[in-house]
Parts: sequence; structure tokens; C-alpha cells
Amino acid sequence: MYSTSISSKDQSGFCFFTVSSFCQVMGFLHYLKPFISLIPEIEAPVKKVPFKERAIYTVITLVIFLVCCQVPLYGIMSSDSADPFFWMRAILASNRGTLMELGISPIVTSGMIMQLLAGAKLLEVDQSNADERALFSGAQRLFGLIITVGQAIIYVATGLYGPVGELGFFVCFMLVLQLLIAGLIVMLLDELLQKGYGLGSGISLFIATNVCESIIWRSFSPTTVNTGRGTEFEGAVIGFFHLLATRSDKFKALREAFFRQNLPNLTNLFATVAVFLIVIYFQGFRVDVPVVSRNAPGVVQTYSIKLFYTSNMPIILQSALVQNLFIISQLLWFKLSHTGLGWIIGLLGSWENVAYQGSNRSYPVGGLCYYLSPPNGLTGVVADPLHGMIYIAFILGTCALFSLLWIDLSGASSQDVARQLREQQMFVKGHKDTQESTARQLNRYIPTAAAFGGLCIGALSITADFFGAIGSGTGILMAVTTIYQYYEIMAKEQISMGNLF
Amino acid sequence: MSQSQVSTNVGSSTSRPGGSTPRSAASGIVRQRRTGGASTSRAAPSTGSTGFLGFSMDDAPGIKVGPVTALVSSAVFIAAVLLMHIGSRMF
Repeated sequence: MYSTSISSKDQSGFCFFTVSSFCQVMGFLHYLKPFISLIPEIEAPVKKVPFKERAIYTVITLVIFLVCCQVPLYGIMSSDSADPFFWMRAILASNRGTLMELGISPIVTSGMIMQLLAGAKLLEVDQSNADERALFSGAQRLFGLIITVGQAIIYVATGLYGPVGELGFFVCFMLVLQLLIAGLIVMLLDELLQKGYGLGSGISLFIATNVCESIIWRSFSPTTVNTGRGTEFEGAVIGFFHLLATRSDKFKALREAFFRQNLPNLTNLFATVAVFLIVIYFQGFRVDVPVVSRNAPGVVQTYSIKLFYTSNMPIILQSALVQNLFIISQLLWFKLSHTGLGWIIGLLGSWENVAYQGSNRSYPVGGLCYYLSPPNGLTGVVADPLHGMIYIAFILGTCALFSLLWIDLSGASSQDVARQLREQQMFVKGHKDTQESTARQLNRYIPTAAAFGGLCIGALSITADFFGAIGSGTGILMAVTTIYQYYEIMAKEQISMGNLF
Repeated sequence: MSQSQVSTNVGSSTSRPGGSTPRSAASGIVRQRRTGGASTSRAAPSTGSTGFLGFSMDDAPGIKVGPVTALVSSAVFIAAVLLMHIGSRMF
């Protein structure tokens, strides 16, 4: 009944699996069925939920998320130990020491791995078979929870919340349990929004909220920091006015406000605004393919292919990949670097804890992880050009690659679009009215748009990072694209309903 | 079947200035918009809709919970954690 065909042809170079292990993988999914049916799941709405109600659900979801970002985990002794993921926190919607410690990372990781398996035909899912699709999505959920538990155990075991011995078994167990339930909540909230009770996707919403929060905070934070040159405000804007008002040398004060190194400065803020504007400008770039309907041959319509065809997807995938690599590398380094295997682990990445604004942060200082981590601004690039070059090549390469992969995985490839157009009896104008011909025409644009769009996204993200844009280049990109998507949803609703309120 | 908004991978839209009624569209990939008409028929997804990162939004074989139940139980969980914090301070 739940039969799944096993593909023996290898399409994407994942040839290290044998055919027999495919069978085990798929058979394994069936064994997991009793567990999958225990995972809670939002039931789909019977009829379309009115816009106002969806807006309310979205707001409540957001409030729950924001509260989860503030409630500290029960049982933490200290969260003073080095923060390994400070630069990825905004992107993964996670907050140190709170219920949202893991953020969306487990869900994204699980989705990415399962989709890659399916895309590489290692797991062949018959999309026309409802039972099979359900089993696949259930397995994705279960896998997400398993990754949550795995990451939670790693976090607790590495002493992120205090030495394991002092915490005791009970508290350790409670910490993992809290992180697990919080992970489940994120999953349910995301599902709730996506199933039609809310607007957009929970994951994008959480990321955008987190990034916007950090931008606002770092611009207007009223916290004071003693820098050695006197007390300064953390927020860039407040700091600017404070410096102008208190310093006697106004020119020096201005330079300080624009270029201070250890606190958010006005250059960072302007870079942030610039990236915002550039992304919004680029959102409008598109190629219009003229299409005609078989039913009304005279009427020419357009099918638009955006430059940002895959939107922020390449960056999300790339961040999830890097984060998981860094977790593993850090765990290995801090646990095993003193043993004989130290040099191999050092090749993957060696880490160092550096005090920064009162909190500890772990930086990669050598090995692969160092070259894949963002350089410290333009000065960092000048100091180590090799690092800068490898980082740029890595980001651009992965963004373009993931973008190309994503169109196939998400059903947005030329073939898929041609099929959808065909279902509507539409074809590219001036070409044969067959699906193959339409696909060939679309194929002239879609892969190019995806790859080039991915490159642009990557380049923007790097540029933003070099100018120290607040919330990291990736974070800003995610926030802008998400906000833009919400704007599109609103515009669509407005058209379909006349007036909203 | 859910009417989900695929918000992460939509890359395209179709504008139909007074065209015929759209028959069906895979979720979110092709979006119809009529500039003149008062009402727009939203086409239902033809096959299973896919959400973020391909999380299929079909009904998986899990325990079904309503949206309100999910929100309330999230709130209860947060309250429980807060109570544990308060409890640990008092004793």
C-alpha cells in the first residue's frame, strides 16, 4: 500500500549509497510510521479562513514567538560561556539562553536533508500518491524533532549552560525537554501559518522579526557602554546625538559616531538602509515571457520570471549548512583537540574564545571553518586576502548552486512551469503549443535567472557584511525579501477583496 | 487541501488583463490577477501543496490539533517554564 519505488539510476552523483541501502532507508520510513502518527499536527481548515482572522492568527503567532525569545530556559547556571553562533542567530531566529535557543535551525536542516534525498532520487516519493506524500512529510517532521533533540544534547553536553556535572542529570534532562517542546512549537506555529490560518510562512516571519528587532535595537539601544574614551550609548543613532552633545570637539565626535569600531556606528546603519533599498529595487527586475491561451489566441498575457527567482532560499540553505558544519567542528575541537587527533580536527576548524562587549564569543581561527566564516570587515580582508577570496568564492558558488538545485527541488523548474501553464492551456507566444516547446523557451530564462539571482543575493550579502551592515548581510536580505513577500500577499488580498478594512 | 501561501519560492506571476477564468494552478507558482473584475477566483492547488522547504502541507498521519489548541498549549508551555523559574527562586 505504501509502496515506494527505488530508483537505481544515479542522477546527482550520490553514488556512495548502494541500492540495498535505499531499500533500508525507505523501509525505515515505514517502520517509523507509529512514531510519525504520534507527532501533533495542525488540521487543515475546512474552508478558506477570512483575511482578518488570518491576520489575527499571524499576530498571535508572532507574540508567542517573541515571548519564547525572551523566556530564559529553566535550569541554566550560566550562559557566560562562549557563544558559538552569534553571527547566525539572527538568520536562524534563535536567541541565546532562551526557549528559542535552537530557533528554526532543526526544521530547516531536516527539510534540507530530506529534500536533497528526494531531489537526488535516493528517496523516491510519488507525488501523486497522497499516502506516500503524507509519509514523507511526516518523516520530515519526525526527523526535525530528532535533530532538535540532537542539537539540544550537543548544546547541553558542550557546557553551553554550565558544566554538566554541576547541572546534574535532572536539569540536563529538563533543558533538552524544554528545547524539544520549543522546537515542536516552532514547527506547529509555522504549519499553522502555512496551512492557511495565517499569512506567509512562520519561518520567514520569525527570521524577519528577529533581524528587524536587532536592527532597531542596535540603532536605538539606550544601553551605555564604557569604552575607555568615556561612556557611550550602544545604539548608533542615540550614540550619535549623545557624542555630538557631550564632546567638545564636534568634528572628532562626528568621526567617532560614524566610524567607532566596537559599537554599532552610523556607517553600519547607512549600509543597512542601502542594502534594504537595493534589494527592493532588484525585486522588480524580471523578464516577461509573452504567453497566449489556446482558448483566446488573440489575447497576449505575460508570465514574469523574476531575477530573484528563488528569493532568499539559497541563503537559508547555505546558512543551515554552515551552521551544522560549525556545530560539529566546534564540538570536535573543544572535546578532542588535546588528543592525538588534534591536527585532523584542526583541518576542519580550530576555535578560540574571544571576549566581546562583556560576553564571550567563539571564533574560528583556523582550518576550513575559518575560511568559510565572514572576514572581519574590510580590514579583515586586507589582513588575510586568501580568507576573503575563499569566503567570497564559497558564498557566490553555494548561492548559485543552491539556487539551481532549489528550482528543481521546489517544483519551479522550466518543466514544472511548462506543465502548469499547459494545465491552463497556455503556451509561449510564437512557438509550438506543446509542453516541450514551452519548457524549452522557459529554459532560456529560468536557470539563468536562478543562478544569476543566487549570485546577486550572495554578492549583496557579502557587500553588506564588509560594510558591517547591522544584522549581517544575509539577515537583512532575508528580512527584506520576507517583508516584500508580505507586501505582495497584502496587495493580492487587496485585489481579491476590494478593500481590506 | 490547504490554500497555502508559498512565500519562499514564488518567483513569478501571471497577469491576465481580462482573460478567461483560470482553471487551476499549482500553489503559488502561477498567480492570477484580474485588473478589471471585481472578484478573482482563487484557483485551488491541483496537487498537494508544498510549504517552506517542501514541508508538505498535506495531512500527515499525526495527531490532529486545531489552531486554537496549538496556540493555547504553546502559551501553557511558556507559563509552565515561567512557573518553574518562579518556583526555583522561592524554594
